[in-house]
Amino acid sequence: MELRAAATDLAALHRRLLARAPDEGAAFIAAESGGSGLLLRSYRVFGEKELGAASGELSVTEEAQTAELATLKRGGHALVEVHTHPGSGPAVGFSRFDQEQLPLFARYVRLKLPGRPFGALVLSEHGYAGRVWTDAGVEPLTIRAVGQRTALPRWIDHPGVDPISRVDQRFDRQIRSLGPDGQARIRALQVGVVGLGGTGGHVVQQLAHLGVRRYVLVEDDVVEASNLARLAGATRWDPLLRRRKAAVARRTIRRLSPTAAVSCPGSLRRRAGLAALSDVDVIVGCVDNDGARLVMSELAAAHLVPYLDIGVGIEGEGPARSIGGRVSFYLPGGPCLACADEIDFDEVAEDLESEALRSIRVERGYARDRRVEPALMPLNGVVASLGMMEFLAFVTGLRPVVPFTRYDTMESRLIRQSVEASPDCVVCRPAYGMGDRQMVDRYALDARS
Amino acid sequence: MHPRVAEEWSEIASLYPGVRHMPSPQRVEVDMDLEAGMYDRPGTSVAVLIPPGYRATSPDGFLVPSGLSFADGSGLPASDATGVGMPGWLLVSFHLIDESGASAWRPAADSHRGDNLIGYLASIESFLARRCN
Repeated sequence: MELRAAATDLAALHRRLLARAPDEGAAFIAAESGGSGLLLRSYRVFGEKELGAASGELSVTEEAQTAELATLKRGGHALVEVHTHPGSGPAVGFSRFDQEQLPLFARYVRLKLPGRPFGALVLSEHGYAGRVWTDAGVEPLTIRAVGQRTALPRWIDHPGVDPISRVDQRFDRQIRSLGPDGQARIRALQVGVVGLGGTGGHVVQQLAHLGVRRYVLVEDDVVEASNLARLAGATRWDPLLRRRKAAVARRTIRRLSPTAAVSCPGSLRRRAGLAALSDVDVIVGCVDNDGARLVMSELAAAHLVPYLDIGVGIEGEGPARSIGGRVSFYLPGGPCLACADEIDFDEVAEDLESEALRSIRVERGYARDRRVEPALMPLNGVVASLGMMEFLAFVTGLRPVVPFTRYDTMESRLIRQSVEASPDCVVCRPAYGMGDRQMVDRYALDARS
Repeated sequence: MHPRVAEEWSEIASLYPGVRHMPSPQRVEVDMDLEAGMYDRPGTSVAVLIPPGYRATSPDGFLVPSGLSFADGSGLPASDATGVGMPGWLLVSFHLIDESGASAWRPAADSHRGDNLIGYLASIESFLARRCN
């Protein structure tokens, strides 16, 4: 089983626990189920007064344990116990004392927190070992860190070098740019792309050229004649055949990688689409409405999935006309689109309401018009490429990701924005690491009966 | 139950002891007393539809059983709610907006510090007590 955690959380937990070296440290992680694994929602490092020594080994006092288990029970969380073995090196493992005591503690915890798995991790400066107890038995617990590649601690950052990429001439120039590790990381990813129109078409094309092999394509629109001026990969026959945009994107991918794994679960408002996105390595959002951005922001926070949002806009008239775009990258633990005030909740309410409610509001005269947005293929291409550079920064660690950038076409400039995570954010804070309990599938139209 | 509603549930239940959660469409139903002599009955059920984006997005309007009217026989500012999956109910026009027409809903990560369902229900009580003005 896998424990998915924000890199920032892991690094902070690791640093705080090993600050006690050469003494051992201990913490309890509040974890949630997400898909087939666990998610780190929060953690508590035990202080000096809460730690004791039983038989010469580190232990958490009964009082601290009881209080913390009660908190976990109230919150509905599972427990992952963490302790350190400073100086053990990369081949760290559970001690004989751990091997004897952890099964007993697992039984105790699973009685206190019934129906939830119990995990245990031991960390050293350079490695970790993990184990998890479930109804099905005991199995290894691995850690999957998500966040800035450049900030990932070395003890967790395994590139998983793919020897095929090293010798594949197709990626020769890219490997010279990003290194074989970088290419291997691209190849290993599963990417979800939501929205396969003007920007999404460019994104899919670039991902396919870069060598991404696994895709979840979320969109259920069909190609229309008016899309041909901007839809990368489309042909003049596609609107005549009422071909789906997802089919066009899949065709683009398969022309470069015939064996690529491409899943097309339909729209974002379907359970299958939401479920598929909750387990990808990164979501690239290329949508034109804030309702979809809210859904993706909440899903990304709940399941700790990095979410790159690419948006373009052409507004106003004459000298007041503004043409530009925005690239926003949510890295779990960092600021989300709502923290950056990039989501208009009035628009969200309209985007997500049922057709029946909308028709009542139209009848009463207070529904906003849904206007047809102007579009330009080169603008889509520029902003999609900006987004893909951040994607490369995220995947390969080329440089740290710049989470928020604006592109102003009229001034021909890029503006880097400084945004802090808001402790009061109504989107990412309550959802953070909540996994399946966040019930993101409530946004699915096929979930409503 | 919607996770944000679940966070608020015990508090709602303490103020509205008969509160019900109904799944389809997702809504909260409470019983409210009405101003004596203002309506054709002393009390009514009130339902609030929970939008999927709640608390980021506000509820919009509320529902009362069909047939509720003012004491003089005139109707509430409402439409038939059959289309939203609530046959036998009326959807009352009620919006938390400022002078410019923008939403006045100001939620927070912690339901105790920003707008929430309890505040929304209190606003409905006040609206009903002002003869829907």
